[in-house]
Amino acid sequence: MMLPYIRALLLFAALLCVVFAPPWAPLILIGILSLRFNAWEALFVGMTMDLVWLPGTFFYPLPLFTLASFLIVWGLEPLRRELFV
Amino acid sequence: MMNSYRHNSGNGRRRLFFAALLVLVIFLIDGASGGNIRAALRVAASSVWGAGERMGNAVLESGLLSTRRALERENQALRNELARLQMRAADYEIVKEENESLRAFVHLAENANGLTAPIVSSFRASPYGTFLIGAGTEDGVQEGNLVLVGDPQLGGFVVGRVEDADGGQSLVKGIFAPGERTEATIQGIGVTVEGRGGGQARADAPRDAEIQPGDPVISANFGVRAIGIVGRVEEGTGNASQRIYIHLPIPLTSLEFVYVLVQ
Repeated sequence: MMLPYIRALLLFAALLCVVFAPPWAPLILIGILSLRFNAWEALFVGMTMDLVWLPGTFFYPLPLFTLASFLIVWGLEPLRRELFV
Repeated sequence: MMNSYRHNSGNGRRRLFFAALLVLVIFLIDGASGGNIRAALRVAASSVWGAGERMGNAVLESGLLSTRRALERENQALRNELARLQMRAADYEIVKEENESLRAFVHLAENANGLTAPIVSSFRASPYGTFLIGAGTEDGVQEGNLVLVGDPQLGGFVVGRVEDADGGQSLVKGIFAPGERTEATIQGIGVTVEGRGGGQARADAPRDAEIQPGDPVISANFGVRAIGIVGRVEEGTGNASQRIYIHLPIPLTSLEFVYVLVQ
């Protein structure tokens, strides 16, 4: 029952961490989101991080945070299905 | 049950796939529009950061945590005084060195032309060693402009370079961003300075080089200006080189304004 609220809260916290916290904080929240939910929104947290802080356009330099969030979301999907589905 | 599981799993994967596709499309649109999406996001990020700062200050000013506040103020005042004195001492060293060899032909201070800009983001949030300043192309700031702290008339310290200039804001990449390499000289000895983040860097110099804590680190890549001072020299036994630890004379987190050299 509370899960959608927790999911929204985690997303909100991750977006705030993009602005206020060290880089590992949003990464951990992306990991928690991906482990518990089918968290497609975690990709947007990574993208926001890169769009705000990464200089340059057209994938140079590489948007590492977006790639990391992509890997976390896809990488943790089998574990999530094993544990929570 | 199994069919339902497969159905849900398929839906989830489909959502992830479309989200990834959408992220790719947003990046492409941002690139094609010359960075309009990231400019808007940066304005939003600096507004949120400013609101957070104001809320934090309001809580401190309200009298809550008053004992802590008094200690913090005293602590901050002492830090500022220490930073000011360190800056003056470092400036003096730079001026002395410049007077001997450089100042005659590079005209550092005389040609300093720029503007003071507020820092509108956190220093620790960026994984790429970048931060936002509240001046952009509308103020004459361009990509490649140097960003200084300290007294620009004395040369100042270069802390970064403007990488992206938007209308009212610019993204600055710190010289000491993690992994960033810069050619520099310390007491006339060429070294490669490697950024470690947080306004700190390190370099290796020949063992017989006479380098002392407090020596300025000068980089020709940044208009023959100082980029830091030597904090510590570590001589390992049996090594052909000595490890030099470099930092800015003022903590980055205490900065509120920077000076942008407009060319």
